[in-house]
Amino acid sequence: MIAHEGELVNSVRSTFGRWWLVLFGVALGGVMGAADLAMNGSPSRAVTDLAILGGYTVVLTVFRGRSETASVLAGNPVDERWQAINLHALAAAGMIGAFVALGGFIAAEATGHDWSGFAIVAGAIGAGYIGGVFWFRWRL
Amino acid sequence: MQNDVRKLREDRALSQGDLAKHLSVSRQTVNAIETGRYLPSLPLALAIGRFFGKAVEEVFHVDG
Amino acid sequence: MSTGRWYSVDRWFTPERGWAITALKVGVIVVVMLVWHAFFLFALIVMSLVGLRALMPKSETVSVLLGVPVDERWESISTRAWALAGQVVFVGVLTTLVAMQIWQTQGWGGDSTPYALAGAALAIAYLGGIIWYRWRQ
Repeated sequence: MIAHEGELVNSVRSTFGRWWLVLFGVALGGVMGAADLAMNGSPSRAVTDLAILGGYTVVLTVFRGRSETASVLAGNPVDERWQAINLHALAAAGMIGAFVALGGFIAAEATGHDWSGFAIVAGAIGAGYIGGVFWFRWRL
Repeated sequence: MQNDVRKLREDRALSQGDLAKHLSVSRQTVNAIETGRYLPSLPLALAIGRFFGKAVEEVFHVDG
Repeated sequence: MSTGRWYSVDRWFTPERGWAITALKVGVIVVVMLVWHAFFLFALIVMSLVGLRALMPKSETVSVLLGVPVDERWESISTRAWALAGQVVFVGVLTTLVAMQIWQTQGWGGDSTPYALAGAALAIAYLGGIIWYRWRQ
């Protein structure tokens, strides 16, 4: 999250305080674990899903007061430099994601696999970028 | 861009942590500004100038 | 918001590098189109790029889309747009991944691998970016 956060995120944060991220991680881990359990019938994999996401968000929440890096990863950059770091890291992730999606698309096409998933991701990044350019062109 | 933040801070016998607290930023950010790795935003540059009682161009300059 | 050194016009983002990025983008699109065996699409894309290049001196938006922002405001717009795209797609990929897993649970088929790969790439790139930019700026 960078400059303009959604009202939904802010209201979730104000309702659950510093533990909103943990709740989100546990909820997401729970859904993934439940899906894993239903698909593979393995409770240990379901618990692993929950433990990884829940544990990650607990560690971030506990350490974000002591580590500025953890505070960025928890979605609360401490100052403008960390906001800039977060922004550039997100931009780099977007660019790399676009190349991975294009590479995956080409590899899937070349090997005769289904490329539609990669095409959707690449298309979404492209549309997100072009939409972002027009949005920020108007806003900045 | 170069700046005199380190010199001005040391002249006033302040630690990076003290300056960071006054500017409401992290100590690492003060260090990054002093070493020229991070260019502060205009509001932060103005706050730094105001804190030292100087104009922004007296603190930040293109040449050494 | 300050623009970082990585994106600064006079340091990293030289015109030569801007052209290299544009050439890379064109190359990727060409490869994609060739793989797709759709030459009319290939021609359409190349023609649109040629058209965009012709418009470049007249439109700053086109310059950004071709990878050569004209000044620091446009660099900032481009960076924010990439960041927005990264965030939106990351949320979308995670949601789709969970949905696909549930979908597969019901035995309705589908392949969640592309979404898992894209999600992992985005997460690793983001974490790597944090460490890289923390060190660089």
